[in-house]
Formats: sequence, C-alpha cells, structure tokens
Amino acid sequence: MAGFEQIYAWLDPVLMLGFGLISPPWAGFLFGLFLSALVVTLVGELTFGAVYVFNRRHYADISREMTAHHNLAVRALAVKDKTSYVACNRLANEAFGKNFFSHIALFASSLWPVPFMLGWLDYRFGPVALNLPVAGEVGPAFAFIPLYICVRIGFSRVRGRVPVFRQIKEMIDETEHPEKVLHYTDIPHLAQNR
Amino acid sequence: MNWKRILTVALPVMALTICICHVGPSWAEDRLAEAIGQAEDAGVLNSEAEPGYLGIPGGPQLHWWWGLLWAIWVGWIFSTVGAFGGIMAGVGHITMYGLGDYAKSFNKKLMINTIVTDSIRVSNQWLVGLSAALSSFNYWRLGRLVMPLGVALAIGSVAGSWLVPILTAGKISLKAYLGYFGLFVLFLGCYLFYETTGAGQAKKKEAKEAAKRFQESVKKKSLGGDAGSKEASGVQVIKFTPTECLFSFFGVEFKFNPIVPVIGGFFIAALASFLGVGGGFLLVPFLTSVAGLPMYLVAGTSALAVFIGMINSILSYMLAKATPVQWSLIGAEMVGIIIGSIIGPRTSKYIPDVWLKRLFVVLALYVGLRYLSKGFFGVSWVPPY
Repeated sequence: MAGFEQIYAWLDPVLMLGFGLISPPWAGFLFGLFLSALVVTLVGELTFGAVYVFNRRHYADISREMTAHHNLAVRALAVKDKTSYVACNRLANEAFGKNFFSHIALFASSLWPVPFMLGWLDYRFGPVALNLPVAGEVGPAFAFIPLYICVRIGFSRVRGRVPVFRQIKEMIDETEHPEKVLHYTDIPHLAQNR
Repeated sequence: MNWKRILTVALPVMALTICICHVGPSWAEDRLAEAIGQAEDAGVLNSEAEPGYLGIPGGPQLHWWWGLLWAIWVGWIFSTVGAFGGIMAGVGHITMYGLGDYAKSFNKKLMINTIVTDSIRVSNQWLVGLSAALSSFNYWRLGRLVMPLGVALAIGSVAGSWLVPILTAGKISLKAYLGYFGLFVLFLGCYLFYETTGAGQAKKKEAKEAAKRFQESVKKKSLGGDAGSKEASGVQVIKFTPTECLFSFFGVEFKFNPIVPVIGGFFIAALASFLGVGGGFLLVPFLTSVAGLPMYLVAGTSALAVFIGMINSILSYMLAKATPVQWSLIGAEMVGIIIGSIIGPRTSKYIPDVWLKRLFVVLALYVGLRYLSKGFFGVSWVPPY
C-alpha cells in the first residue's frame, strides 16, 4: 500500500534493534518478536487509556444504564415477577448492544499497532523462508501472534503494579461498575432481604 | 465445570489456530500468483503495470488516508448507532476503495474476480472478529453459559461458518456478492425503519414503563412473590426433548425449541461467513426472543458464539482456500475507527437516538438498493447510475 513501504523503511533500523541483541539467530529472532509484542502492547494500552479518559462519561453512562436495567431484571427474578423481568431484561439487552459496539471501537484503540507491526514483519522478514518441522514454510506472524497474545495476557496480570497503567485500570474499574453487577447467585439473598 | 480452566486452554488453542492461518501467506501467494498469471494470459492484466492492492499489477492504489477517512465514519457509527458498523466497513471495502468495481471488471470465470471478492469478505470479518474475542473473554466472568442453549447455538454457528466458506470461497463473483450484500442491507434498513415507527417504538415504550413501575416498587419495597424456596435456585432443566427445552431459572419457567438456536445459529453464522459481516448484533435479539435469557448470559453466549464462528470462518478462508488480507489497510482502518469513536459520543449529545437511526435507515436503503440492483440486474436503480 502506497506510503507504508516508506514508513516501514524509516522504522526498520529502530525495530530491528531488538533482533540482534542475543544469539543464536533463532533466539535473537524470538527475542526481537517478544520486544516487538511488548512495544505494541504498551503503545496499545496507552492509546486505550487515552481514548477512555477522553470519553469517560459516555462509557460510564452506557455501562450504568446496562448495569441498572440488568440489576432490576435480577431483582424482578428474585420476586418471580416475570413481566417486569422480561421488560427490564429487554432494556438491559439493548443497553448491552450499545455497550458492546462502543467497546469494539475502544478495543481497536488497543489493537491498532498490531496490523502495522504485522505489516512491518512481512516487509522485513517476508522474503525469508522460515521452515518448521510440521507446519512447513511459515510467515513471521506465525510466531508473533501467539507471542503477542501471551505478552498481552501477562501484562494484564501485572498492569495493576505498573505506574500509569495502574491508574488507568483503577479509573476504568471505577467508571464501569459504579453499582455492583448482580449475579443470579445473589437472588436468594435479595429474596431474603425484601 | 471450571470455565476459567477451560478458557485458559481454549483461548491459546484458538490463538494457535489463528497462527496456523498465517501459514497461509505462502499458500495465499501461490493462489494469488496463479490468479495473476491466469489474468495475464487472458490479456486483462499487464505485468509491467505498477503493483496495487495485494500486489496485483495495475490493481487499485489504496491510499491509507482514504481507508482512514472511511473508518472514521465506521467508528462514528459504532459509537453512536451501535450495530451496523460492520456493514459500513463492508461498504468501504466494496465501494469506497474501488475494490468492488475492480473485481467486477474481470470476467467471473477468472480467478482474480473471486480472489478479490473473498479478500473483501475476510477483511470485513477481521475488524469485528477480534472484538468479539475480547468481549467473550470478559463476559464469561459475569455468569455461566446456559449449556443446552450454548451447545445448540455453537453447533449451528460452527456448521454455518465451516460450510459456507468451503462451499462458496472461490465461487462467488463480485456481482453475486454485491446482490446478496445489498439484499441483507435492505432488510436491515427495513428492520431499522420499523424500529423508528410508532409500532416499533411501542414495545420499547411498554418495556420502559414496566421497568419504571418495577423500579418504583423496589424503592417502596412493596415486593410480592415468593423466592424463598430452596428448589428455586439456579438453572434447572425440567424437560429436554429434541423440540422442547423447559427450564426454570430461580423458580421462573422459560422454554425454547432447541432446533431454533441450531437453525438460527447456522443461518446467522452462515450469513456472517458469506457476507463477511459480524452477525453479533443479530444474535443478541435472537437469543433474547428465543429463550428470554438474562442479559449477561445472552451477552457471553452470543459473544462467544460470534467469536467461534469468526475464527472458523477466517480459518476456513485462509487455510482451506488461502485468501490474502492486506494488513496495512486494516491498521489504517483501526486508527480511523478510534478517531470516529472519539468523535461519536461528542456528537451524539446533539443528535437524538431515533434521528441517528433514521439517518442510518436512509443510508441502508440507498446502499441496499444500489448493491441489490447492480448485483442482480447489472444496473443501479439509484444515482450515480
């Protein structure tokens, strides 16, 4: 695609730094991929935080509406009021739809560096024949994608201890669930407390 | 059943599955190279021309800024109207980037026509498929999936999303794809139009009034009913036959016909797989009306079914039929979606929901009529002709 080849060429010396740090070449390649996955994760998480902060009130309103109607539906179930349950559940589902799709866009804000990294990897390592015992000839994405998923999951476990990201997480938790989301296992307690 | 353990294993397996599809680039390149060779032999491609989309000589030059601009619109739709963002993404790939007209310029007997069509279908799915993955991972924590319903839906969903790519990849010309896409968009436009009418709004109004009445009664603590019974706890399947599943959920009875989610799941996944549009927004109202399930169960179940359907479809396309995807275009589109989703909430304060839907109805009717007529009749019924 016009323009991207130039961007990849410009970024190439920087992105290649991580690939030459350790030997043998296969270890250096994997380590480079790991560093690339880490960079992509961090950039994505920061973008996600920034987008969330910018529209925090909007996400809070949608989440509040969804939670409120859902909780009402659970309370209706606790007292076996099927009519109210169906009504509240319908509204909760509609609010969920809005929440779901707004979070699609939000999720894109954490994922956006990935396709560009995949594009650079194809640009840099695409001509290289990577042969594996069972899979045969593969592209660099074959290793990058699972590595990225692992780095992302690993980062989510330690995010609460990393400055800036900890604050982002706390802000999101506070915004998304100002009211406790009732679980169906709360129903017996709700019935007893009425 | 320990869902956390199951998902801890299932998700990496799914991820590995995605990776396996990236063995595809070398296969995809072979299929693409074969298609280019065939088109050059037929004299419709000039090997000396500047490479464009997918590296095809003389192919459309996709400027990243054009992809970005259209995706801003898609992101705006996602964050305001909600659903149908995938449809707009599809419209972008087909019309705005000129890929549709480009593929159509080749005789449908040439591979290049169908390979570009398949590429459009897969590109549409990536945008929404990855999002369904995150949602399903998050929503499982809200509650357990309803097993009979989840299984029935998954069977239909997987069957639909496996069969359709295998049966149709490489066989659908751009014209046919346009026609079916247009038909689907037209149907959606009519459905949305109905929702903005008095009759369509009446049910929602009724639900809001019932919810408000219940909320007042909760505040006054004047609740009736009896939920103290021990046997009323949790989901209990009372009766299960091939045509009826009767279950109680904390003492309140619900029922559904198991065949309905299988068939419904099949059609929704098949449609999503054939057109390249998510299908997620069809599943939630479908499940709500089929079994009247609580929101968090429907959310988790539908997101997971959409996710599984997506993985299967994309894997089928990329492994079985080796369809290429242009990553840089997807990246630019993601940035555009982010920008659109930042702008959307700011503008929605000034535009009521019902008017947003009406705007979308007009667009859906226009796009639907145009694609339907061009695809099935060869001429557009709406300008530009």
